[in-house]
Amino acid sequence: MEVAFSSARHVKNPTRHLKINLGETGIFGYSFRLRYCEECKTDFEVTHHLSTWQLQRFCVSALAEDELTAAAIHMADCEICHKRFVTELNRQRGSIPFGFTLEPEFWFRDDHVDFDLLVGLADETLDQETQEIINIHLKTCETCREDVRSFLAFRKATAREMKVSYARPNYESAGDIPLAAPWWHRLQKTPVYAAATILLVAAVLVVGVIVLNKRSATHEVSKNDETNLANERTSSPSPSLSPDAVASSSIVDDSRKVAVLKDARGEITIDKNGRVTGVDEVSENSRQQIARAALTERIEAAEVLKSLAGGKSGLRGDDNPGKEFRLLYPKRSVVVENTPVFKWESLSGATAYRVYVLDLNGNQVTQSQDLPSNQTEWKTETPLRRGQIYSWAVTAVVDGKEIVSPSASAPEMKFAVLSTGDLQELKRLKNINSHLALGIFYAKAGLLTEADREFQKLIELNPQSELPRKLLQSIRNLRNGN
Amino acid sequence: MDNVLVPYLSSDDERERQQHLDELVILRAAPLIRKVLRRRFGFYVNAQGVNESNQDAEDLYQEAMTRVVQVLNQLESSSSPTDIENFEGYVSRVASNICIDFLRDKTPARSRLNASVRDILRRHEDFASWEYNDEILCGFATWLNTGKRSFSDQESGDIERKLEAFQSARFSDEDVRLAPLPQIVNELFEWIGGPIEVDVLVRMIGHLLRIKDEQIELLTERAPTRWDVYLSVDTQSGESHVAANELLTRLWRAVTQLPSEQRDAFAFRFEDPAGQDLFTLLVGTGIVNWSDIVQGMGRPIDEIIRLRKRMPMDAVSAADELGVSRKKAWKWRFRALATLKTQLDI
Repeated sequence: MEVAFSSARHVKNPTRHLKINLGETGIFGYSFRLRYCEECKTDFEVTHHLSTWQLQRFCVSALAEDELTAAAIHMADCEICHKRFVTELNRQRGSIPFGFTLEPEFWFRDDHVDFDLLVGLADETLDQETQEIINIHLKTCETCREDVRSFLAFRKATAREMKVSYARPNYESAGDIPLAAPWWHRLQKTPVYAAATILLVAAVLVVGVIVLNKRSATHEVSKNDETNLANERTSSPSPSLSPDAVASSSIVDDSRKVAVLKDARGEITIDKNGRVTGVDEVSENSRQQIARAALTERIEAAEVLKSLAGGKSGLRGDDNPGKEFRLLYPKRSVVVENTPVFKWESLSGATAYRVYVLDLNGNQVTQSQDLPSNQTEWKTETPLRRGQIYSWAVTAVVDGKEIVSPSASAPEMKFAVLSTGDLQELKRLKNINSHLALGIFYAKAGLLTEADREFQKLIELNPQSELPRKLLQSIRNLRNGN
Repeated sequence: MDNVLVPYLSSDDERERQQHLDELVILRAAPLIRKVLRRRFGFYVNAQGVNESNQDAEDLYQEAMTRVVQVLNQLESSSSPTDIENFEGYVSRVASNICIDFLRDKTPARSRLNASVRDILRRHEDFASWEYNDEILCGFATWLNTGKRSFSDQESGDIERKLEAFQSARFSDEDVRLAPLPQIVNELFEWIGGPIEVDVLVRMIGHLLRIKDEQIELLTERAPTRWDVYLSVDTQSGESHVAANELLTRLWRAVTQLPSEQRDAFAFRFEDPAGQDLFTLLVGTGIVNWSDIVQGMGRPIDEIIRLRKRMPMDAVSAADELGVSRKKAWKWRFRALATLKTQLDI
């Protein structure tokens, strides 16, 4: 049946007269024919009425796109097929009424608040219109409401945590930061102090440059060491270095063992390639340090201790002849507590003491009240930031005059607070109960007294082994400043 | 047995039965599954079950369709077929149940954890996430732009077993659920010793924190969604067909007068109570024909047909079609709605 021939319509431009190629392409099957326009590269003309089968599928768009297009073109001109389409659509629709809503709550029902929008809400970076749209969605979406509430609460709860450093402790270098001392200025009431201060600042700058140079050299060496170790690991992956290979961690070739040590938790083995077994729970970093210490039989000075060292100033002198007192603790060391107890010698004739704690910029972080003369220790109530270096000083009041320790020409008394990352590692290592791991950790964290104690215990467990003795000696050399 | 199934089940001719099966699947099941995915889960697929920006939606559609075909084949071959009183209700239930399994993995608490972890990776200076070989990896900032470890390629069961060891080693004296999330992330990175996929990290933390969502309520066969109620607000169901058509005519006139980007943003997302797109609804009510749609939308017919196959579109597809960000498409739709509400006074 070749009836109801529709008028030719160009799909791109309905008013354009077409050059018709009569290659009839029967893509609709035997009851349907199209004509093909070479210029448009498309079938554009349906030459028969649509079958019921075609109409049914047209209603649900279940035909190929070109077939749908051809059918629509046909229907646009064929009143009969248009009416059949309306009838078929109504049949498929059943009793559902025609209608719509313009309520924004409906229109934005599926526009959920994704991660970027959550961040935008929390950071308050969204424009007013977007905010309004989100509010509309939140009216109807309980899940998103809870998501937003929960995210904002999370942001609030983690505000402090985000400032905690989890990387390796990044102690600020004393040499990197120019010293300033507001509290110092308060003490400089005499021209002698002022002159001493100027000289001190000059000296510190000189020392700073030297330290800086030393540090960059050390940094390079340290970097090279790490690269070497990484290369070793790459060429011979350690089965115990990651959780991937915990199961195979006990497979160590005897001939390659460097050390086998008895430890509180059992036997620890280190082989030539730096594989450490027996302490699988410790972190990658700790394992690397254990391997390095065992292979080199020594422990390098913790980087932080170099930053705490007091530079020897040519200005060292007696600012208060006969009126000196020493600071006892912390003394160029790392402290575990972030509210440490400060201790100092008593000074004869002192009627009161006051403690000052400063950051590396010379800003006062905290200070004590006037303490009675019989009190020579004080615990700060203000928690100090972990991973940071501080300096501290004590003033003693004698005969109405303030005597400061360290004196104006002496180096600052610095200390560092153990970083959060190290504190966590320490907690873990204590649970693991390995003197070797703990000793090396303490040493690398700058806690030499504690490291000394752990290696002594290790020697007790391994009286015949050379390695613990050498490690202890290495620690003692560091404590003695060698 | 539902009457719509009788021709299919009673046919003796194989070709004829296949034709009836096609009709049941293409004309009845497919539109219904699309509607269920849209209304209950906000998943949009086109008439062919495709949504390039939502693989999950495509998978769910295909799975539901396959399930329906299987059931119909079983009905036909079984000597004592299961009685299906209401085929459409049955299809709805099949689609809903498939989605429930899917949603168990995408439950709100996990999604919140996901947002929290991603936020930490984004904000904490010691952590980072990056794209590497088409995967989103994360780790310490010092690992940036390096490849992942084989750790995450393990079976999830194996990872979970290892996490027990991790927990006893690293959180033996404290409740991991009370630990700050950044600390847990830090511990996991240290323990793994290299980058992993963000999704795997979230799954691991979810396991450690024992995050479980509430059981999702099974949807009843023909329970109306709250959106059906919404739609009934303006549908004028109590009024005459003529009044409804009058309203649609005014809507169409107003839509064609909108700025083109607002008009498109509105049209692409439009959905009526039957789940039909704007073009089908307008032509189906006899208000306009396809030439009018071509003229009103200012697009050629092949373009209109291509769009109709995708409509109603989800937000991502609509934004993609408009060539703008999701937020921009939102705003156009929002402004279109405000204008139309004013002009139609509803």
